[in-house]
Amino acid sequence: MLGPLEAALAVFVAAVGLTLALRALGDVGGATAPERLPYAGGYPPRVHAWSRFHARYYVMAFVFLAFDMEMVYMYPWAVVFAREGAIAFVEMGWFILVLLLGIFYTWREGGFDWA
Amino acid sequence: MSRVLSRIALRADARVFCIAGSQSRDEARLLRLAEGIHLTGTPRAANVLLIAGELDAGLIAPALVAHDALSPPRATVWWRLDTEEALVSKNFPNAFMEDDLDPVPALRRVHEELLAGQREGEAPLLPDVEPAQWQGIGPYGQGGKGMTGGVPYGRPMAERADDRDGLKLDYLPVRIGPLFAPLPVGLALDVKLQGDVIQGAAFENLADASTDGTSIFHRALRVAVLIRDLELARARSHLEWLSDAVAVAGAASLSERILRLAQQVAPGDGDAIRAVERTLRRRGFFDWSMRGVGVLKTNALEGVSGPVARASGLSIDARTKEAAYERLGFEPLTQDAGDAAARWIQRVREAAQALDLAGQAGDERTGGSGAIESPRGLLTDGAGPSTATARLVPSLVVGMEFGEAVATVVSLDLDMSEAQPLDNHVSAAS
Repeated sequence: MLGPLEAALAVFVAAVGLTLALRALGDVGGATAPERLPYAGGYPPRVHAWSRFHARYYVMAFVFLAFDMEMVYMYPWAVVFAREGAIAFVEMGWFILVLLLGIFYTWREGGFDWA
Repeated sequence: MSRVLSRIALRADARVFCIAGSQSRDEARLLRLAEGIHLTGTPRAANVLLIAGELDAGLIAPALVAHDALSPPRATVWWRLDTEEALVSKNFPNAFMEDDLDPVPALRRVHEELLAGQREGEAPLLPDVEPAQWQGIGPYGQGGKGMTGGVPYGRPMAERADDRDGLKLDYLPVRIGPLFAPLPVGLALDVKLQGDVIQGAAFENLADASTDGTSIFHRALRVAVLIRDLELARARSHLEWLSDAVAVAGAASLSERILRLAQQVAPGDGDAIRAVERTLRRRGFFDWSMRGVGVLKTNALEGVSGPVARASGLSIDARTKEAAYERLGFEPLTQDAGDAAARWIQRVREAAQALDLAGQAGDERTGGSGAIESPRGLLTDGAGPSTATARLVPSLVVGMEFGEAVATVVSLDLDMSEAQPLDNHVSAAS
């Protein structure tokens, strides 16, 4: 039987071998410059592809984060919910309502419009 | 190993990238119904290039680029379609010539020979020259000073422009087409993209001018033709457009069904088209993705005719001036919204109306007056309706996301060979 180190080594060698084999199989070799260009409808690109663009989804990311953290608060709340009863329910309802108002406000201000 | 792989590959459809000239797009469209081949959206996914008919002069250079972008081993099939001139054979010397009406057996054969190694893959046609040379200047070899200065790989960096949030961000000038399947043949769209939003647009028309088409509508300019035939041709044209548009929207099997219907419809089949409209509506084609997209107000429609104008509420139609149509009780249909959805609905309803008219027309004739209502609008001797419609494109797509822009251009049903004479560059910016 192989020890753990030998096993890891064997997996590594097999993986490298398989990768090289697949590469050799798929390699057509010696592509010319026009063959390497990205295809965009029949014309070569005019400017370089390094460009900065607006990460417009950041608003969604923030909203997601806010609601994600809300879920974190709900875990300890769920533990004491049965003991505290209706008062806990009202408190959590109030908390979510405040967050919801925030959503409606952002919505009204056009914060969720993509374009 | 490679024998096993090629045997597996042989069982699949032949992957074909099809380039059609502006006079052969009807024939090329029918290949979507063919068994045994699969038309790809990009040459990267194909190894057989099919050139249908004679190519427009402006499409030769892009076609050479597409040829070299095919995944090797590659082959070219030229489906001649009775063309006499030989721009294609001059530029694609190794192309397999196919004179048959049906190119599918030849495509299959070429594909099988390529996979079996009986046919050698074609060499690239363009010279092996870097279009932009690497310039080893600067600390990162980027061709200039600083991280983002200079011309890396000899290509300039994206320039900066105002973003709509008041930021200065890069914009990418990108040419889309002419060999981009959703766009009409010959249209090359130059857009300035910030993210996926178009900040400026222009287009170039690469299609050859063709004023004397062979369609029944061109014939009707000079001689009287049966209304039954004319309206049937109109319904077919609308259905073929619809098939293309539905394919762009991603519903391949529905697109094929509509294309089959376009082949089969007969005068009086209006109900079949109304069933198609119900299907489209039920599947949500006219809902959020097209409602309010590409709205054309009536004051922007100078010189525009046909379904595009009528979808914006303009009740103009050359048929209203014809006595024969008056006897049939013809009234032009209109929509109010003027958006992409309205243009879709307009064409579907006009197709149904055309078949109803064809069913009632009997032996009534029309035409010969030098002006006729073609499926795209008012056709006169030497001037087609697409000229005015194409002019709308740049100002219409600025400010749109890329997907909306494609949907909008599709909804205009352009024929670029007809959109002549046209100063070749028309542009707009935000």
